[in-house]
Amino acid sequence: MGFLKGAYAIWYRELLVFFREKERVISAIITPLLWIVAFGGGLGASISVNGMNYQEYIFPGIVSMSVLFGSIFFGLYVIWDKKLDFLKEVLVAPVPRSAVFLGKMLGGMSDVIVQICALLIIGALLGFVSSLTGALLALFAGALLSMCMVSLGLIIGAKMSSPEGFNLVMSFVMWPMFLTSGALFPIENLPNYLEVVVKINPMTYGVDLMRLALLGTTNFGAGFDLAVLLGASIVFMALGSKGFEQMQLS
Amino acid sequence: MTDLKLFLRRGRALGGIPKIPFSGAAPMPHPGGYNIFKYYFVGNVSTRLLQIIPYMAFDMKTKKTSNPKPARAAAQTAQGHAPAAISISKLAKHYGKGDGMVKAVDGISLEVYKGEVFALLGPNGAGKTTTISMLCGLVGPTAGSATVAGFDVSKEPLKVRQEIGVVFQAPSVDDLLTGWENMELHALLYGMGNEGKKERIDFLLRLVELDGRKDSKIREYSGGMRKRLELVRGILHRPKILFLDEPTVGLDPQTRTHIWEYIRKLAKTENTTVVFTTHYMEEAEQFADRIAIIDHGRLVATGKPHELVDGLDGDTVLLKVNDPPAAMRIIGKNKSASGVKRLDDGKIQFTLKGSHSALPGLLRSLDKVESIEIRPATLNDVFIKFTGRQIREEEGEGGWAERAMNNR
Repeated sequence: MGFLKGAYAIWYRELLVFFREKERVISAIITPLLWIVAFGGGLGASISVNGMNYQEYIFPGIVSMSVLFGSIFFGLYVIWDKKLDFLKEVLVAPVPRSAVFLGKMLGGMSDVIVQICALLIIGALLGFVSSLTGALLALFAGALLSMCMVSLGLIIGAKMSSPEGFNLVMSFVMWPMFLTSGALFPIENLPNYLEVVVKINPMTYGVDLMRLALLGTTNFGAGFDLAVLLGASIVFMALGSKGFEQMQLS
Repeated sequence: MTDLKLFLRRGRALGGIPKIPFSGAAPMPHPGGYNIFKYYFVGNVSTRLLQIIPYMAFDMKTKKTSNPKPARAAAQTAQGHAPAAISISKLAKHYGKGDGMVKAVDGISLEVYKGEVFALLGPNGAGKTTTISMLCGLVGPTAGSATVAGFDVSKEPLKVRQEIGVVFQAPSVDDLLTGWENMELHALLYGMGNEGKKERIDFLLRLVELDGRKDSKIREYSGGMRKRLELVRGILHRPKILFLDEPTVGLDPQTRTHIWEYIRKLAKTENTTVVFTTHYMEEAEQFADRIAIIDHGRLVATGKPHELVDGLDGDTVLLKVNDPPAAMRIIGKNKSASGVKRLDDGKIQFTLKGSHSALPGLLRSLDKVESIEIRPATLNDVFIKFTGRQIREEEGEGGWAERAMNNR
């Protein structure tokens, strides 16, 4: 009981903060729009993928990207909690660390789900979302991917002690995951030696599931995508809980 | 002479009560040195005494109205003190390994009794914060054990945490949330039911005069307001023990005085055991029932403030007299006086044991005293006695080491 109450308390706090920090919400929506309009529009003028409008092709990829970046950044936000000492208040409360982790994860997922909704609505207005069922499935795929990626972000955030590591995480985690996921081009186009990276990247399966929901095409099949994302989420959640338990404050 | 006696007794006899300096300045330390109460009598004795009287009345009043000791006495056991709320045994915390190892806490053993206000006093970097962190279960001890509110901190940290409230040195309120939301969040985190919750939050916010600002974001609060909010948040869930880590650091003297008023009020109304850390001797001396002096991670001394001070050779007395050599001979013969010497400005300085009763007699035997200056012995003198250093000496360095530690 204390476990669930504790997790609920953390989740509630994350929601309050999210809706109060309007800058975060706005920037989380503007960046993907730029990708779709500027990058997709500029490049799309000269190319098409599998006979498909390029912008339409990358829309699911860009939604996935916003899930990836939003989720991992949320996880890294734990560092600010550490810096601002609010985390002490939480860690000294009679709440198991795993409950703190769960609350954080739910908070991050909620933030990202709000972002996905906004993007899907804009996508529908631009003509990239054809059906409500597709949109709902995309929302589900995004939520699942977010569960996986928030957990990963929290693992890193729990280990990091200062914001200086942000760039390292960007260079070694976020950009590689994004660029080898097939968000911007079919993964078949990547050089063969990257195949292992593509295959072990959970993001690949998130993009695949998102594309299946919105465009009806898939490389691996819904069942496999779901299994990989769920499996990765469980592993990351276990590691994240452990990371929170070991987190030390001096 | 009777008036003088009364005056001399003032500080000591009413130990544990806030001392009000005569100048009207705030009773808190200032950088230049403190606790040096200079009282000159020559020429304006009558006006000085007139100034003293209202403060004495104040002291009497405070003693009667705000000192929660009678209630505590009832809870005392046959051994003369209440049962232990906290017992620490050989507690240690080491950071790093090998040559670079820092012994932040180096084997501390002590007991804090139920219902008392207990101070951990020491310079910055002495290990006070680390000790508190271990007692709250935030930092695991390297060695030793601690029992808080009946639970072992290493084995049952969650049960310990349910029974304690903690107010950290740095503000840990969420500055994007309002005062009310911070309180509500705390109630949720401590699993409080909804029944009576709203009333209790309102009551506590009123207690620290924040009820008017409860819907403002913490960002718009001043430092003192944040601290007040943290204080009441710390006791929202009715903890048995309240830990305060440097509760008044960085606050202006007026706010400090207020914060202490609140702490005493809270301790009384909630019957809470209070443990606080400080590097201000005045705070420890004025507000703690008992003190543990810590230096370099080790326990230097424990006891009631006045007992610690009384264990010293006495107060320092400076006299200006007509005939110094003769006076020095007389003082030298006095059994309570020691360390008699003549200063460059012609004054005679000596240490006088039990000065409040010994000085009047000594003065009577002297011829024509022009001025008297008394520096009551303080915890600073206790600290110097045990460590050979001023408590403040290492503040700069210690502060740096503590910051370096925080950034690990």
